[in-house]
Amino acid sequence: MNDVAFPILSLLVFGPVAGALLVALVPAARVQLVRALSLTVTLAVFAASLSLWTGFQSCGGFQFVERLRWIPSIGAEYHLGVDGLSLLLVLLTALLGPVVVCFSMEHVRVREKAYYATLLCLLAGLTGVFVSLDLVLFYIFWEAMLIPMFLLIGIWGGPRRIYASVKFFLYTLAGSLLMLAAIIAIYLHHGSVTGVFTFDLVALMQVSYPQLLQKLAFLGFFVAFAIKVPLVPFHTWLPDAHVEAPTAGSVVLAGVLLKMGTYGLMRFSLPLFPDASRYFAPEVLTLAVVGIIYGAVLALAQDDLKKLIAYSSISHLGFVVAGIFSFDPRGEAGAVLQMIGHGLITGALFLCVGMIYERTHQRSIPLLGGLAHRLPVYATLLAFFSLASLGLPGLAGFVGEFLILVGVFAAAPWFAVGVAVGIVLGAAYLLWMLQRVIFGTLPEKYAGLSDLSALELFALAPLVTLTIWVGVAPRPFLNVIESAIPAVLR
Amino acid sequence: MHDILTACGPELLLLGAVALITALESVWPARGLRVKVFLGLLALAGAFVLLTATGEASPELLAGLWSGDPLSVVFKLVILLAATLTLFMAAEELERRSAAGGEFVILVLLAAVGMMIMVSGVDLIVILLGLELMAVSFYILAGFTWVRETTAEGGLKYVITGLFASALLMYGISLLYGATGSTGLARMASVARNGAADPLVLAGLAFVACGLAFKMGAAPFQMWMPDVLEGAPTPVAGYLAVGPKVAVLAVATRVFAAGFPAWFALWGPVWWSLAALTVLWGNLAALAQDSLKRMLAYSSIAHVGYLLVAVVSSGNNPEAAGPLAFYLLAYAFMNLGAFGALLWFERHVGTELTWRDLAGFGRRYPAMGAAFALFLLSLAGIPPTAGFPAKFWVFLEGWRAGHQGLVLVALLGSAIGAYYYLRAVYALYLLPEPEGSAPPPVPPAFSLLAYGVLLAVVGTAIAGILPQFFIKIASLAVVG
Repeated sequence: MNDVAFPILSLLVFGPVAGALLVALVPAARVQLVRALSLTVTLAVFAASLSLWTGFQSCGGFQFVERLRWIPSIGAEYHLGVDGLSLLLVLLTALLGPVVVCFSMEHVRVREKAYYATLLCLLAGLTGVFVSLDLVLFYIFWEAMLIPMFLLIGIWGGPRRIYASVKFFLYTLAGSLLMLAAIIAIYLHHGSVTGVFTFDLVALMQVSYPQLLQKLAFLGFFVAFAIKVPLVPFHTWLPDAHVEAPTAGSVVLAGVLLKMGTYGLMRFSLPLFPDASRYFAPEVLTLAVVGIIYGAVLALAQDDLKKLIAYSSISHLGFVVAGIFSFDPRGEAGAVLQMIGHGLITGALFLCVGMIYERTHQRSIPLLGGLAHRLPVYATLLAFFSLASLGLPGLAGFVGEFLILVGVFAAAPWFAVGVAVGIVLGAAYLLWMLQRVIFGTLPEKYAGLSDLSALELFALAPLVTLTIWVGVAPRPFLNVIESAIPAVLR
Repeated sequence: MHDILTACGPELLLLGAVALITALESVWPARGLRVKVFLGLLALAGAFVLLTATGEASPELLAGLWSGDPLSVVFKLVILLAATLTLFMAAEELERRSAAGGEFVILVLLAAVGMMIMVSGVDLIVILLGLELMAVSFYILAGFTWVRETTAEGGLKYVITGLFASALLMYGISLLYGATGSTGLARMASVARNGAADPLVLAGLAFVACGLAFKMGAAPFQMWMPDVLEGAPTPVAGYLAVGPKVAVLAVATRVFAAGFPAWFALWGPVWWSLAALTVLWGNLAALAQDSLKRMLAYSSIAHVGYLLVAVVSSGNNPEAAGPLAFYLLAYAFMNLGAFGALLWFERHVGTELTWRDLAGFGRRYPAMGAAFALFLLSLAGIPPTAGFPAKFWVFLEGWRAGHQGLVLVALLGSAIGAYYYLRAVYALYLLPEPEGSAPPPVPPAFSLLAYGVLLAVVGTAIAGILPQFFIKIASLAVVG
């Protein structure tokens, strides 16, 4: 354990908050300064997060732990730490920060000051969710991050943004309240058994809970997480939110926010309620497989490019949940890798959609076509990420999907069939989309479109690099992930 | 004499200030409003210091009529806070409308004294005296001369329902006196401890419960609240929504949880049902409100429901008075803050605001818009604001006391409630400004109201992010 003296995790969480305050203090007219400040803050946070990667030891347990008294009266602490499960998600969040800021610098022109301040708060909240080891602290970040996301969708989103943002907020809030009840229940049980009332996750995992409490508390947590993932039938907020969100919102939403649900399942549900998790595994696997196929089929039917990617997210997150509930170490590792891969690839795909939308002001697949002629670089990158998304070997999507398939097959072969069908359908909707968007004839009115700018390339470059890196040499990532798996499957 | 001074020094100080302002009022009837407000604030601050300095006084004073236990001290601090914020917010409004400002200050202080007497009283007659002092002050405040017709209507409604509630309460007390031969809570508690449930005592308790439920605005005795709060001048509405709740809930805890813990099985379900009904009724009815003031009025009914969860829990979990006090403290900050921000909008934009009228205010008035959004989110219980730890702690102790069902109902209520609070936030930030009728921008200027709101913002934020300090104070309040 390297209990570093320097509070690096607090820096990652509160650095963006401080950045947001700074941005808020800049006069609204000085847009350039606002942009530069946001980029600097996100780049600095990303640079700082790299020290986690270099300093991390793949030996299990929580590292970079920070622990302070916070509300001793009820046993809540300011307790932060990362392990193999959260490390990569923290890094992913930190990486997507500068990426979306770069994109936004090129395309966001409305109320920029408020926009960047909100974005920075959102990143802070997300990082907080991944590094909290105290359930109250976790819950606070979990809920608090709703507000910036609500504003981001609601102010800078598409035409139906208000409906989408309110729906997003209320859905997730309603789900979280049941989790709150479950948190209270296990806290009290732990306290009555051990005499120590604490919300410390590590301590709460030491106790085994009675079957009934496990099942009910599992369901309380599960609804909150299933809404976030989202699993069918809790998914209806997602297409609305995605379609109406601004590009940066979609990237953060798909890239990191959805992972809060799957992360929660691995961090809380499985370790805290091992028996209940296994008890409900068939039902959850069913929901996951239904989600995989349902999401894919709906993606096939979409004409809106953004909706297509949104439904593909439902499908891909179904893979992750299937991997988690395979209770197989390979499935678990695959699930985490798929979270990272999906974050990189789908984040990039949403950026690609945003880039074409900013040029043509529409996202309808039938109205596009032949982009390869006019925007070769863009078309190449869109094809690259689509292929990565459908699981082309050698790219990030493949490794996770393959491990999940192996894990699910070992645990429940019939479910693996469903998962495999999802992979085939994924190839279908993505290739068909590519065919219609980048091949064929370019509509007359798009003859004057320009290819990607340097800033846009700069935003996509790290995602390309990592997609290849994770696909070709996943070992360093898997080492990190595997160190955390025993704790998940205890 | 010394006994009285240590027992009720803060109350005497406030009464002294009342006497002084009354004297000033006869010398300078229409002038010196600032001095009078300043005197009022000074007296409140003095009472605050006196209260914290004496700290834990003897639990039984003045021949068993008066208690200086930590429970009373903690609740009195909240009352003083509410009165202070009210004076901050009302001062300029009084000046602007050249209303009878001195009387306003006097009434705010007298109401505070009444509530403090209620909190400290351990004899039903003392409690009743305090309650009447509070009620009469509020009857006048609620009908205070603001140029509005609804004011008189609301004020009258409040008087009639208030008198009815007092009658119920007095009848209950007389029954209790008939059955036990005393109005002292300690004596009643010993009767309850030693004997089986006497029907006469139970009937008395039922009437007392109805009277208290009326006074705090718990469903099904809530119907006066929206009209009265809507009709009352905005700063009074804030005070009226917070102050009486503090005092009446403290009394309910003292009479039921401290007086009759052995009969919890009998009175627990009554308050349980009132709590559940109030949470659901308040939140559902608030959904239907367009007027911000009415929305806040129904929201204050819903909050009575959450607070009653703590009262029910304190019946078999003495620790639950802590969350009750903390919730009230958080509620004083966020609710008075919300009414203060609303008053500010009313002053600069116009009265009778609906949530739709807030469209674009987030940009036009960035500071006050953000403050109002903060209070609304806090009322909804969204972290990291004071409303979250407040709800969380109440629900935690409720669950610990074995009222899981009630906590789930309260959670459901919070989920419903999030909608109408969020609706106002979304009007603030997401709705575009209406064309043409842009409200005037407001140049930043010294304003007591703005400072009052700032104080509430700071309280809401600190109690939300680093609540330990307040929680520690609140947990001194133990039912005993």
